[in-house]
Amino acid sequence: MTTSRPILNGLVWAGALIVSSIVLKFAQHQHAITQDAAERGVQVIIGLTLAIYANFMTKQPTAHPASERGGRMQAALRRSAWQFCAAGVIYAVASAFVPHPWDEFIAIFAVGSAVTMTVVAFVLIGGRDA
Amino acid sequence: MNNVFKALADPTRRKVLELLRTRPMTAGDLAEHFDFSKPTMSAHFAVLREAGLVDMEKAGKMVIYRIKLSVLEDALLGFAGTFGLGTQRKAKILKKGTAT
Repeated sequence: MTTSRPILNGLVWAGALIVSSIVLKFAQHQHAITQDAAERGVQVIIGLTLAIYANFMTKQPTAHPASERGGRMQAALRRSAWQFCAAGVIYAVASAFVPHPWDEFIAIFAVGSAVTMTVVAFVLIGGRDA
Repeated sequence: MNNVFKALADPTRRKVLELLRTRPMTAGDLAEHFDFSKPTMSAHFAVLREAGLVDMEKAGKMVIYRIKLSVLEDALLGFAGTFGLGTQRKAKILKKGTAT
């Protein structure tokens, strides 16, 4: 039951994502919103999804040993969760408010930085033996 | 969420979380940092577990605790620590206890 709950939550969130994309596309066809607004809306949802997922990243069950190395691995995971959460929020805000083509540049830069810093943190901090 | 606020409102429990930030620790290791009795510490651990802020694992006779904070809870912990939430109330209770 406990393992199926995250899967169920993920499916519900994926469903909500698809439904909101369809709603935005439908609104665009009805000329209620522009194509730009519909695209921005989808990008905002993607950014928020990343932020929400990153928020719960550290809640996943892990088996870090009760040692200095385990502590460093835990710290690296926590740091990467913060980075991805910030990247998700920046992605969403940039997609919503920043004019083209800077919105895409900022969004890609934010996520790219989070990925790079996470890899560096795990290699330099987490991977080192005590 | 109410459980999270309740858990983070107490300075002792916040100190436990700060200690667990450094590395996963046994209940004994954690208890060494405080002057409280074992049942009191167990009660604090129970509140943290109930709020989902720590994870408990049994390794033989030892109980290992790991921090399990989401980014939002981590930010709340930092906020509560910065503004010293609950410290004045605790000091008042301690003062009352010594006076009687």
